[in-house]
Amino acid sequence: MRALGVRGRHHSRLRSRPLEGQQIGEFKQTYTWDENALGFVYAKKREDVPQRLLDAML
Amino acid sequence: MVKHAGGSAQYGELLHTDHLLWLLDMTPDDFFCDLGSGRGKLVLHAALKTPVGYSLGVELSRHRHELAMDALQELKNRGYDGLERGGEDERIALLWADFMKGPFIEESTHVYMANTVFGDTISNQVAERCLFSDKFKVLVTTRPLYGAPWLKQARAPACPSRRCIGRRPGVTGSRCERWV
Repeated sequence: MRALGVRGRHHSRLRSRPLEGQQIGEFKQTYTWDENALGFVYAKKREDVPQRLLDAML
Repeated sequence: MVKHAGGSAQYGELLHTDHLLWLLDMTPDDFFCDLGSGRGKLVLHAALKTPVGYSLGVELSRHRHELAMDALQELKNRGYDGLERGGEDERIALLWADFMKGPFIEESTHVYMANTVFGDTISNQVAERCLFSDKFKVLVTTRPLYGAPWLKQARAPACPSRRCIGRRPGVTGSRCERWV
């Protein structure tokens, strides 16, 4: 990290960046709906997400 | 006890529960689980207002769990329908337990986690257990999951705050404090 010029773990983009080759499943879809609901939806497959929820997403 | 388990004693009241449950569109085959159910608002609401097969709430704080049990008992005393399935099996349960130490996530199809004050570690562990569960369908959180390298953003929502300086919620590696 030091060698790369990164000052600390909070400054590191490497820490939270998706790394290729480490994906362990299809659980990768993130959705959110209207701003009042303040929620985030995760599912393995898009088909698992109810249509009402998909329609309400931003 | 909450702090001992790595949690936070902070508590927030959920809004828009009716709308959330309508959006989830649960059926009698589904199993709803609220991780950190608090006073049981969402769990009781799900059992009363949706046809979900089973509604489970897991809460670590004993005091909040007792308040939830009082609310459930009050509903039973008032004779509310829908808390039992066919008059035999109960379709609601409130447990005083640590949700990381039981098969609650693996049994559930719809998982709700108000993780506003949960750490990223716990949130990501829950997401990972959902990933490997056969029954799992949908996980709803109040805060986006960070730091999980296997998560990818399908759609980046615009921040509703006009004063946001450009960091967008849900995008891995960026945080928008105004969103939550």
